Amino acid sequence: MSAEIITIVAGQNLYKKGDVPSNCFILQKGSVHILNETGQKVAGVSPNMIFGEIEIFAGFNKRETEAICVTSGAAVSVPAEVLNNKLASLNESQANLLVEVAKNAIKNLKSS
Amino acid sequence: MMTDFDFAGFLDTDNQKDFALSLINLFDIIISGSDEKLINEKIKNVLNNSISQDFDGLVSVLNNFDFSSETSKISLLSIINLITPNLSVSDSLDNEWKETLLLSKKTISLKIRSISEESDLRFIAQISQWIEKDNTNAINFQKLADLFNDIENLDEFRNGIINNYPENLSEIIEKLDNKRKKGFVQKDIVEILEKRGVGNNISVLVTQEAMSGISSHQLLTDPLIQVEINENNDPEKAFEVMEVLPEIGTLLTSTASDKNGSFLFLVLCKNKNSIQELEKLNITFKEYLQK
Repeated sequence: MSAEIITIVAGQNLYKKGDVPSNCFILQKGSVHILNETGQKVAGVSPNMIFGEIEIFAGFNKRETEAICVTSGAAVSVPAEVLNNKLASLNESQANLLVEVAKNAIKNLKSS
Repeated sequence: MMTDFDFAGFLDTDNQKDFALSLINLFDIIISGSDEKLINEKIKNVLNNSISQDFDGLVSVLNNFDFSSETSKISLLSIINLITPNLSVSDSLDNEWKETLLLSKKTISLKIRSISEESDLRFIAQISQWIEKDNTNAINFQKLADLFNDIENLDEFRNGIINNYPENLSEIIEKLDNKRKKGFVQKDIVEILEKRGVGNNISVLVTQEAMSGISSHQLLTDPLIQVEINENNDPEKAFEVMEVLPEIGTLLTSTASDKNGSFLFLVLCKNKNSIQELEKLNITFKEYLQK
């Protein structure tokens, strides 16, 4: 598994709620909206922003949000394994902090 | 297999810009037909940028690059094509894009004049993709490459591209594709008829138009006869037979026989009863094998 450039088209779901969080993305071109379970926009993603990483850092095995491409463009898709390796390389207290921050971020997104 | 990604290195826009520039330079050097040493130098430049290590596919193509292989060059152009224009910094490289696009356009107009192999078309397709936003001609060149084996006259084909690039490449594709389909169907008809014992001198005369509404299965299994009529010997009977033939089946083809005044008619009959109709006229005909 390696990072790859993917082209994305308006209307395309990059992931849906309930999907296995198998990768995160770095948007390169275009725009993406993050939606909560009621379909409401909770965040906007513009180029050079990372998205789809929080469920991986939080250790969730299912997506809590949905990412939909609004303007066609491209993104770098990075496998979850990469993030898990990075998490594993942290000391326990750093890793725990990151997990808690991620969990908190998900809670905030869901309640927005 | 890499399982790391240097987020900081990738998100550093200066670093990403250097990476994009190294890819543009490599693309230019390859399409210019530069020597191996120069290409290897540019490959090293790309590999020296930390971002290249984030993409397994790119590293693999760069490390396995074979100067003597057109396929290897096409693979490298293809991956540069995928990555470079899609990087976020790409739009800020206006001048560099202008230069590479100019070079690419010149290269295409030179390359289309020397097309001699399928790989030439695939190579041009990559350059075309580099300069286009909608990929139309890149796809057209790939389609032309797919049809390359059906080309009968290379000079004519090459001139067709020279005269029709960039606006009308799809016309050439359409013509070639129709020819291919026609040739394919025609070949099938001949094959089936010959399987049933029809001589090649007659089977090749059966047109697709005559086959309209007839399936391959029918051609293989329905009663098939060859009637010979001599206008000189018995003009009245000849007239009668001519009237009956369309009623008993489909006239696949007709041709002059080697006997003076005689004509051969190849008829695919509706059923066995059709043959009886013909027998009533007391004429001689040949029935082909039923497969």
